[in-house]
Amino acid sequence: MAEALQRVRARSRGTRWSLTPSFQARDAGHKPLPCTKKDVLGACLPNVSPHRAAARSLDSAGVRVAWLALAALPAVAIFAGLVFVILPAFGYFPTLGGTAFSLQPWRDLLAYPGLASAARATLISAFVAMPIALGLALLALAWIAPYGAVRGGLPLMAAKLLSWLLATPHAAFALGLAFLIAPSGWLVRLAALVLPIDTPPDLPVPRDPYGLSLAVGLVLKEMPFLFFAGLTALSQLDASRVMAVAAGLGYQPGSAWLKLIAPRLYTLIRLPVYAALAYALSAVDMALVLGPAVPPTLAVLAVEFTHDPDLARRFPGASLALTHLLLTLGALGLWRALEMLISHVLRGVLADGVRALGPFWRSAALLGRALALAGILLGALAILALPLWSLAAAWRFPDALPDCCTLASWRRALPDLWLPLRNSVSIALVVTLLALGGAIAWLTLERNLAQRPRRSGRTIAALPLVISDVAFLMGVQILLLALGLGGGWLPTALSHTLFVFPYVLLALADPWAKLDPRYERAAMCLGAGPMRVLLAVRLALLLPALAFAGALGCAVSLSLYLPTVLMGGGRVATLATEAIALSSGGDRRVVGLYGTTLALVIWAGFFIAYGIARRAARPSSA
Amino acid sequence: MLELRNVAISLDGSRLFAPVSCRVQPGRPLTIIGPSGAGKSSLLAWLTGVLPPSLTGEGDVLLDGGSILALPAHRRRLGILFQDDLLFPHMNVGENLAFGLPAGPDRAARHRIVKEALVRAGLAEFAHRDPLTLSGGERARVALLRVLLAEPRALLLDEPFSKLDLPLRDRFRSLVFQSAAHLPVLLVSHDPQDSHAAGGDVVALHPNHGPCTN
Repeated sequence: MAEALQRVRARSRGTRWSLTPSFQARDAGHKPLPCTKKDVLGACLPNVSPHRAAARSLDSAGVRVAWLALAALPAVAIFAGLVFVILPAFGYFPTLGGTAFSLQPWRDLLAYPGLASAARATLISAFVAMPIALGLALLALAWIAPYGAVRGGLPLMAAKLLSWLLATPHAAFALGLAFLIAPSGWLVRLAALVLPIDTPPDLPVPRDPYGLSLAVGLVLKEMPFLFFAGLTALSQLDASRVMAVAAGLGYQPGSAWLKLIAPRLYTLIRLPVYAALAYALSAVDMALVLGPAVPPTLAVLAVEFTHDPDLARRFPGASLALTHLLLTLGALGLWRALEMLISHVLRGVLADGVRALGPFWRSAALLGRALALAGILLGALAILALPLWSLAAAWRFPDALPDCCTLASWRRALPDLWLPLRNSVSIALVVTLLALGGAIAWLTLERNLAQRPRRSGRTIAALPLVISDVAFLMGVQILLLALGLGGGWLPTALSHTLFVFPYVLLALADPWAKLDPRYERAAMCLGAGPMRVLLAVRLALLLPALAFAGALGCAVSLSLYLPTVLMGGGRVATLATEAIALSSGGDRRVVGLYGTTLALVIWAGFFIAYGIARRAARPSSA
Repeated sequence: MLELRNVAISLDGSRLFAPVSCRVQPGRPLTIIGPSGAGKSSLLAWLTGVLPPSLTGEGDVLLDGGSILALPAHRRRLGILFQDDLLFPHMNVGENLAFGLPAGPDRAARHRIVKEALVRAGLAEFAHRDPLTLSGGERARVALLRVLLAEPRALLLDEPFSKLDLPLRDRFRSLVFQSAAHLPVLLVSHDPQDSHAAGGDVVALHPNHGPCTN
């Protein structure tokens, strides 16, 4: 881990040196120019007068302030949210009639009958799902791309399926999986082809009281996320040469991968792992479809409190949200402790000199690979179930396939589909443009900063991904309520920005840092101003990365459920909220249709990005 | 003894260089020189069994009289040193060395062997150091120790001296040849200086369309 940080640090030091024109220009003011080969910028420095250099450094003070403002935004939102959850959690909130601090909200909360089972289901689903998802993701990596490049054949197909799984929104995926594993679902129907089943078996799935169906959903959805996070990280590890060295020392590939690649890989994907764990604990959309019903998981329960027409219920609701925050922090702490324990135990194994994997690891690897493949197939079936249902004329139990196919459901639903589609797409586009602009500004401004504020800035930006969104969103909602502001399109979009921005920033940061700085220096030497260098050189060269970051931003915004529900005040219907709301109604055709539409919109975004990246890959021939 | 018989590497059916044959005796390092892109590193990758699938190798490679081509990479026991030391950054110096040491007998004995090796190499207090904090020369020496502790049957060197500065380069070079005197050592380089220092035979790789002397 230290190595990765060091490397990042070393790289950004280099970047800082090369990308700080004001700093260089000041030097140029009082020193004859050294004409060194590494200083391409030096060639154009005689044009920079000391006067202009001073102006630039003023600029850089300005940009520092701008960066601070940008970095402060998420922090302020989170802080405000937390304050307005903590106050009512202890009974103080005059607008709602709480004028004195008290422990009454906590007493009310503890009196709630289902609290313990809600906490149990939440913890079980997250702590069953996360280790399995992480293990399967690593095993899939070792099999599909042991050196960072995807191998051909079956591994390539598996990687493609994984990318489809990744690009499918949580809500749609949960709906598809529910179709799959329900007692009258596809899996039982497929089993009925060979077994004598004529009535749906009596199974408590999905929505079993222990949250195990939810755990399955989380595994299948987080595995692709962690897989692709790992695939990106692998490119930094020089894996093929490390494996060659290990082979030269007599290490069998599996053992070398486990001892040399896996530990370093894990330290590089720690943030995505924490984000996945936080998501598993606070998922509302998946929990509403796959999680237990009465009582639900803690996150769902908190949302139910806020929907209670009795405003006094906001007080125990706030206590619950605070509990959820503490639970999330506790879970992250527990995970960290487990990390340290495991790394302590494995430390001795790393250098024990054993060249081959023992039978335990070999069979674990085989089993894991089989499980990962099964998971990928299950996920693909879940995605496929959605459009199939939306096109089904009739699909009686136990038929394995519907009486195909009719557009009747689509024709009926289109008028209702229009509004949520418009809301979803308009929010996604506006939020993504905001986030892209913010990320470009952030990364441009960051160059003027030392390492420390830069790192803490990124940590703050990523905060909404790793702390309980339930808690601070509920606080913001209470705050809006206190200010007499209802929810609506604008608050929804603003809250989406909090979650979209870190993803866009993280997606852009790496290509941004990797771009060869000499292009920009060359352009400056040709007389291009800072704006022109940014637009015509940097952004133009980064167009593929911008396109993918944009598609990712849209995908995140389109799948967000909780912020939309809490900030929309029930007035902003999006594809995600409608699909989840309809899922309790029971008409699988309509649910399948909304889920399909949601997934299609997101996939369309990625296809457009792919098209842009391909076009950008070759110079225009016009 | 390491012996190459009519060895060549091909890309899409065309050879990168004319086939070479040579014998490497312990104590008489052999240098293969050729310009960059001549296929030197690919040759070593093929010898060690990690050639990328886009390339193919031909000919035969014998180690102590037996062909090694049928063996998987980790059974060939050909130690290799690269330009970069490739010390594993998640392990300290001692663990890096222990990683090279064959398994067994027990933890204390392994510690002792590693310690002794460090002392012999003049790196006595280095076992708990983070590889990142070492100088270039120290890192190179640790990498060499690690390879030798794995008890290879031959040593391959992929321009391991080119990143060191000049005085360091000479010292490290003679250290390598001294400590691997009992092994066949095959060095590839684009630097004629290396072949001089190695003192043994020199084989030049010729692009396939050029004249063929081997």
